[in-house]
Amino acid sequence: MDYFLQQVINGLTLGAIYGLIAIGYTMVYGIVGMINFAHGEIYMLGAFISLIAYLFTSTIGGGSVAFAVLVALLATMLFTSLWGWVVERVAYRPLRGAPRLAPLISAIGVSILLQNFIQISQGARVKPLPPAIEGGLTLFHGNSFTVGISWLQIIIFVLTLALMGGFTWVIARTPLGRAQRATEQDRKMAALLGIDVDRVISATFVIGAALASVAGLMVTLYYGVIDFYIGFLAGLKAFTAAVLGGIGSLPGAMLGGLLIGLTESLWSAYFSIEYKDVATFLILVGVLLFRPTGLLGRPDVEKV
Amino acid sequence: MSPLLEVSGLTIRFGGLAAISDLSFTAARGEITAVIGPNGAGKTTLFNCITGFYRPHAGRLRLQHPDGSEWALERMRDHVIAARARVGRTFQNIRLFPRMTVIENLIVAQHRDLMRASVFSLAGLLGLGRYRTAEREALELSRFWLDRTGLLGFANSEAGSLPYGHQRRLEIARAMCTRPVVLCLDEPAAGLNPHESADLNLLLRRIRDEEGIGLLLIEHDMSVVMGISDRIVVLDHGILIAEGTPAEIRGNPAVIRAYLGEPESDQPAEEC
Amino acid sequence: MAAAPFLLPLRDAALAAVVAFLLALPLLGVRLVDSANGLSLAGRPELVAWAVGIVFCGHLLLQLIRSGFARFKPRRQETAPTSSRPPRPLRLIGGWSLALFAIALPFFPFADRTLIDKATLVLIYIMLGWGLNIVVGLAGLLDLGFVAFYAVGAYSYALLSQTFALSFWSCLPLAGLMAGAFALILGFPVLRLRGDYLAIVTMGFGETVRIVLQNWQSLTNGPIGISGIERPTLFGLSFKAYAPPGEQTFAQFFNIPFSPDQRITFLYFLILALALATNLFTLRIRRLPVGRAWEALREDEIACRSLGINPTTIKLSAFVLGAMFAGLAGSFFATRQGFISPESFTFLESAMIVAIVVLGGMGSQIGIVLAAVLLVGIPEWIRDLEQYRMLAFGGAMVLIMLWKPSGLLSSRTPTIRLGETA
Repeated sequence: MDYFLQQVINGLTLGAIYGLIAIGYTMVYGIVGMINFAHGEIYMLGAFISLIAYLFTSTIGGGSVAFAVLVALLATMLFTSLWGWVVERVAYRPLRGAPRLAPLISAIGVSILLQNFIQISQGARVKPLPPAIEGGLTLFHGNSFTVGISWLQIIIFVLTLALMGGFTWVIARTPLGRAQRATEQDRKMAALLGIDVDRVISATFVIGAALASVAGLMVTLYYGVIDFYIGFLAGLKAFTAAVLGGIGSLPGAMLGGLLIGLTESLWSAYFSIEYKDVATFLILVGVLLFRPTGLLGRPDVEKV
Repeated sequence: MSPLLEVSGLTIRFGGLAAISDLSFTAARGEITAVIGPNGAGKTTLFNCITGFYRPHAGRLRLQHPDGSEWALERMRDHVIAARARVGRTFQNIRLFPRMTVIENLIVAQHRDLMRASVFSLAGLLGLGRYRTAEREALELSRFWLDRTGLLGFANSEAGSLPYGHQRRLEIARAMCTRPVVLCLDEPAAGLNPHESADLNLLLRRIRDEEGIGLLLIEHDMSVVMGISDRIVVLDHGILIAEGTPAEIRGNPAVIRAYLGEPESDQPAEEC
Repeated sequence: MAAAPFLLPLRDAALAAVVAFLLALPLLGVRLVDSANGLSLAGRPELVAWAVGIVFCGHLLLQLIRSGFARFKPRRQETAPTSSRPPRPLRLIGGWSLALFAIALPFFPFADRTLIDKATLVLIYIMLGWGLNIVVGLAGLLDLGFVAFYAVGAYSYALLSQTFALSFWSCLPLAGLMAGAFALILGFPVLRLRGDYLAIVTMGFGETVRIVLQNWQSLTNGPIGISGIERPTLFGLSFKAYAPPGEQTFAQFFNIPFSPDQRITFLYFLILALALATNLFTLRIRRLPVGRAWEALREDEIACRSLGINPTTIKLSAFVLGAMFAGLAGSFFATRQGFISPESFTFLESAMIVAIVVLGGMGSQIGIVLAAVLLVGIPEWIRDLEQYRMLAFGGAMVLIMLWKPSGLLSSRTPTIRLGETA
């Protein structure tokens, strides 16, 4: 039971990270109807930038780990958002009126580009980081196992909650959020009503990139090792999470992420680590068979 | 009258709102039955139930074929209704195959016959003669309907490139190529100018007279409705409010009320 | 202001340069260096300078080109994207000449072993592209896991030939059937999903097959792969240097000196035949009810339902047939290399095949040939710059899409005409 609980905590931590990436997928899909294949690579860029920023600050500034992490957080959010913005402007916006598959291929091209860009410019080997934030709380001592939650895990949870809360507030209460929701539902009408659709779409990409970059920072700190390929794996899983939760639904993306994180953690612990991704895939197919629009997705009504 | 389609007690709800409540009426073979009513009355929903795109919550939809076979449409799926019960339809927002040519659209409509003749396309793959014969016959039927709808000259043009009125007629031709027993037309006159509407009237009357099928028609264009309908069914908020000949419907106070609304009770009396 | 027209492009280029600076700064300007005591940072300001410079000049150049066009060419009307279609006789001639060229290729004086080898690789992708075209181009089903069926074909052949000592030719149809069976099992529950959901599920399936291949060691040998795969024979004639007793080699039979090139050429013709068979099949089936139903389904599924067409069976047929061709190509791949491993069957392969279909212009057979040559053939030529090859590949995908969103040769040939006798 205690081992199980530990796996649950670990799984939820991983799930929170997936959820943050999944939000980017689901938002972009909701507003422009495209699968941003390069989003996983944006997350990977975020991880690399956060690592570089962290090392940079620790090397020069001295000062506390907390300060370095904070600088890394801000730096990665800023720079990665810029990357997300540029990708949208250069590779997707010109294709907005094009046949449906054109932006998809472009996105796959960007994904390959970014992966290889990092592989060449930063080297193909994995980048390790000694644990920056150590220690944690012991929750309770079980018979065979001590269940604990590390400071880092707590930070991840709190940060994720804060971001989700802030983000939900933005969507519900601010003019940008309203414009975003309007554009998502009817782009032409939103434009006719004076909404700058290009700006709203750019903002969506930027926010998605920012959230993914935070996930990148978390992964760097949590796992202590990153490489140029993490974007593909995490991207696939995060997109699965978005679909699982119902694409277009923000709480769905986080829910999907948590579910996948739990599945991975529990399957690796109790069955086999090699087939954990297969388990995730089977769950996805299973859910889609019974709820074709995902767990929290809005049923797609096509007018006959 | 020989009954064709019998609707009894049809009810369908969308999230608590009853789109159609306890609707009953009969449409006859060899007649044009128009379904009219203000927007939101449930007309297209009715069509979607008849053609199997929606599953009603209660009620029956019985279709009778000339050979006496009966079909319970309320329990059948959309493509099965089209294939076996032979219900043809056109759509409110034209649904052609835009990047295929006009003739291809009509050939696709004869898919089932061609598949049977070609043994799921195998005979065609092997170049056997029976498929070529079937294809020739399909072309003949297509040519017939293109002629009837005045589209022969456009046979090899892309369907999407046709002018709007021609696209509407193409949809009708395509539906007729499925050799239906009943044809459901959803606002066939929408967007047509008076000249085109008059042509549509001629076409629909000719189909009724020559093909011996029944036509169900949703329309807002009263020149079409009054011009060609044999019977009219009036819906409002999902309920049947009147049924009868055009003459009977024209003067029906309930119908007028549904379209024009109640007069304001505190309006000052007109001064002479 | 007289100077204004020159200032505007300069300003835009400068802005682009600033963005490039910010983008390049953390990732190009700084490099993570592995050292004895962990990671450290090294600065590379010169790379940032290069990036800024290239972006500035490139942006300026692009603007000049664009404004140059605008000045001398009237604005082309933005019409709905349809055919950039060359006229029919030209297409027929183009298709036939390509086929003849391909058949004659090994006999040209400049055709050496490397050329035939690369051409063989391109042909594999052409066949895969033509196969996926049935699924994506004709039926409009977004399949991002096509490599799974390729893998099933390859492993089916390898395992069947080694376990049951069957020849290539016996295994070939079996491999195709295996791939088709997999497609049937996957497709049945999944094909009713909406387009983009189908994409992610097929992508997941592709990955799942790879993971299973990698981990089911007892069956597939895991990451080590299967080697020593049987090579194909021509009517029992092998292409080895020496034949074991009871067999004859090709060279022996025709009384010519043995040369390893003979096998290479034989393999080339083999894949050429397979690819042409795929093409002929596609051309034929488009004119048959099931082929037309695929295209109609792609255009409007609801209209198809109203005509009595069952979408599930039609989609399944496209999915299964496309998979079968992938299975055949997979067998060829296995027999050509003599060795297969899960590494050859990654998502990148699926992405590449989808890119070939889309870049070629969905539905255009010749377009797919062009796209395969561009995406597979040309990078093969610059194989030495291995690292930059993939970078160029990704960039090419983006650039071609930006230039021609409907594909290089987007065209659709009608399958039947009224006025001609059947």
